[in-house]
This record gives sequence, C-alpha cells and structure tokens, in this order.
Amino acid sequence: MRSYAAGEVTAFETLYARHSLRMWRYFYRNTGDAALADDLAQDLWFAVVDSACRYEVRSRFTTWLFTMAHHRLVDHWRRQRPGISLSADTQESMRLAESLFAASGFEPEQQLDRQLMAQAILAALARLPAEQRECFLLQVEADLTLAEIAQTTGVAEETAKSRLRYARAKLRAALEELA
Amino acid sequence: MNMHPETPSGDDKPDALREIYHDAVAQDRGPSAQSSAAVLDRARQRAAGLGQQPSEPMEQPAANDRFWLRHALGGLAAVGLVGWLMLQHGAWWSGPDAGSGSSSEVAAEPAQPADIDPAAQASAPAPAIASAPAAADASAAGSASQAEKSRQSRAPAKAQQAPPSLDGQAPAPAPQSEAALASGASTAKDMARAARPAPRASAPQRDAASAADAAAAQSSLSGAPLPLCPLQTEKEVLEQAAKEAEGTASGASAKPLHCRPRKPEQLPLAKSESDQGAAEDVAKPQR
Repeated sequence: MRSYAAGEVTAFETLYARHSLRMWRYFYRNTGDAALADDLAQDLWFAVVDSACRYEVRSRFTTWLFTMAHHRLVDHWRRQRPGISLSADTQESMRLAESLFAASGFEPEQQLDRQLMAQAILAALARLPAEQRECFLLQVEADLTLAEIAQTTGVAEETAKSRLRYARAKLRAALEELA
Repeated sequence: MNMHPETPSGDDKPDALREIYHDAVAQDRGPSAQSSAAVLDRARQRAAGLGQQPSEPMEQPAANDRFWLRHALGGLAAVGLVGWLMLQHGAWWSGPDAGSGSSSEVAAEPAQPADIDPAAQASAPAPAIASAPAAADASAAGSASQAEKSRQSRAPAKAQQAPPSLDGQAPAPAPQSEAALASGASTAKDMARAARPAPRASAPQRDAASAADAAAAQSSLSGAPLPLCPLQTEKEVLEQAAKEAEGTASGASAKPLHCRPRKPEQLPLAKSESDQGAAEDVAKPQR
C-alpha cells in the first residue's frame, strides 16, 4: 500500500491479484449472490484505492482489508434486513451447538466422498447465522486469528470465539448427516 | 498458542473443515472481469493523480477517525461556556437592581440605635415631647448620610445641585434620593406627631404646633426636610406658616417655606415654661 501510495501501480496490482479472489468469496459466501459480491468487492477496492494516501500500518493489511469488507457487509445487511441484530445468538442455535459438542469421535472426511462433503459444507455454511458464518469465513478465507476476527467484527474475543465454535460445530453436524 | 480455537490445539494437524471448505470453493469463478478491470483502471488513474494533487475524497478524514467525538466535546464546551456567560450576565444584570434595592432599603430603614445621638438615646424613656425631635433629627441625619452614600455612588453630578443651607446650625440637607425623600417625609411627620400631643400646651404653643404641622405637610409634599429657621426669623416663619395653613384651608395658593420653624420645646421660651411647669408639678404634691 505504501508503494502504491507513492505512485507505483504494480504494487496495487499485486495486492489485487493476491486478495481479490478471497475477498470475492468472502462476499459471495456471506450473501449467496455472485453479482452482489461483484458489486461489494468492487466498492471495497475503490475504497482501498481512495484511502491509499491515508493508510497507516497499524495491523496486517489483510486485517485492515477485511475490516472494511465487514463494514460494507454490515451496511448491506442493514439495508436488506433492518432491525435484525447482528450480534444476537439465538437460544436455538446455542442449544444445537451444545448438543453437537457432545457428539464427538466423528471423522467425516474418512467416510464420505470429498465432493459430497464440499456440497454439504457449502450448504451448511449458507444456513449458518450471519455472525457465525462471517467468523468462519474470516478464519478460512482471510486466515485471521481469533483476536483479529474479534477486531475485524468489532466484538469481544470471547464472543468471536463462541461464534466460531458454534459455526464449526454446525458444519460438522451437517457433514455428519451425510454419513 | 493456538490462535484457531477449533483446530487441534497446538499441533500442526491440518484443519479438516478448512480443507473441505477450500476443496468446495476451488471452483468459484471469482470477481468478474469487468469488476477487475474497473478496479485496476481506477487504481491507475489514482496513481497518476497522486503525484499532482490529491482529490477531495482523500482530504476527508478516515472512516475510523473519531472526529465526531471532538465535535461533540467542542459543542458541549461551547454550550457550557455560553451558559456560564449567560449566568454571569444575568448576575451582573440583576446586580445593580438588587444593589439599588438593597441600598434603598437601607436608606429607607430607620436609623439604627448606634446612629442616634447619645443625648437622644439617653432621653429615650422620657416623654416623647423632648426625645422625639432629637431622635427624628438623628434619624434624618442617619437617613441623609445613607442617602448621601447612595447618591454619591450613583450620581455624583447631583451633588452640585444641592440648595444652599439657610441656617448654619442645621445640617444642610443634601438632595435626597427617593428613599431619602420618603425618609424625610416620615421625619417631618414624626416632628408633627411629636409636637401635637402636648397636653399642657398654651395657645402660642398650639399655634406653633399647627405651624409645624403645616411645615411638615409642606416638607412632606416637597419630599425633603427643611432646615431649621434661625432664631431671629422664628416668629416670622411661624406667622407665615400659620398664614399658609389658613390659605391652604381656604384654597389659596401657598407660598413655599424656606425653613421649618422650631418646635415649642426647642424654643428657649418654651423650654423655660416647661421647666416652670415641671417645678409646679413637683411643688403641688407638697401642698
């Protein structure tokens, strides 16, 4: 970013080639709409270009980038579903997660075809609550740590950890159903 | 430290869910070519303009800049300052009114015992005929001094308009404030009240009392106590006051007095008569 702020265009092209696909998947998996993911990702990259002069190295570039992506996703959700709290974990999901944590010893990757598991996990990911899905995507797409996920989503680290546990437990349960 | 809580703790065992996920999303098409071209074009244009002049959006604060907090604190400080100034202004504005009100109250108050002449204070338990004029004079002097202080503090230029004193013995009455004028009127009434209840007063004394009443009435009308007349002109003034009283009763216009006559007990003759009467009262029980 500093190189691009100094006028070096190739630096930005490198950044875009490295992160554009991850960013697009982050938007696409969160919204389920490829065209919308295009729009959100393009808007985000425009913002990156515009804010290059004011960029300060306070954290990793990935953390900064996905924080901006999170804010755009939140804005999108607020426009689409006003009145829904993004930080609410329902009681039903909590009970489900508790029951899922009790079922252990299952290794789905050893029993099912990986193709089927891929379809199942994407379907289960689409059914996850938005907060839990976002935490999982930040972990697997942006390679963010737990603290970085909490910083990106603006919640406490324990909250982010809880959301991530629930998300992973539900994905495992979805794969278990295929068996 | 394990930063991914759901991965096997501490070891390098691959995350099964992560692998399955990446297998599942490996066929994603990614951003469209149009979107990518638009982003790269904008980046090139921006880089070309970076060396020339920054555009307006770049001068805006960052999205995470807490400028709103500074604005809110500045607004609160401004509101507090304005409120404090309003309070100060209100206190200053009500200050002169409150001060004048208190000064007028002070000026209108009867004279404190400390301000009264010790001679009048000593004769206070005696019949009011002798003590009332002294107390009235002391009260008038006290009120005049209070009013003088108030007058000096408010309008020093008025001091030059003071009428000249007619009698060197009497204290020269200064131009009074409204409160002092009211005090002067009450003093004149006290003087008349003190002169009225003389039970053994002779005819000349009653005439003098009525003349004093007339002078007091005129003094109350004019609002300021007149100075005591000189002894040489006492009789003339008494006659003039009697004429004034008659003229007022008949409706004729009265000529204003320049001084107030002395009360009977203040005259040397009256004093000797009262002393003689007192001697008779003392002598009577022996008979």
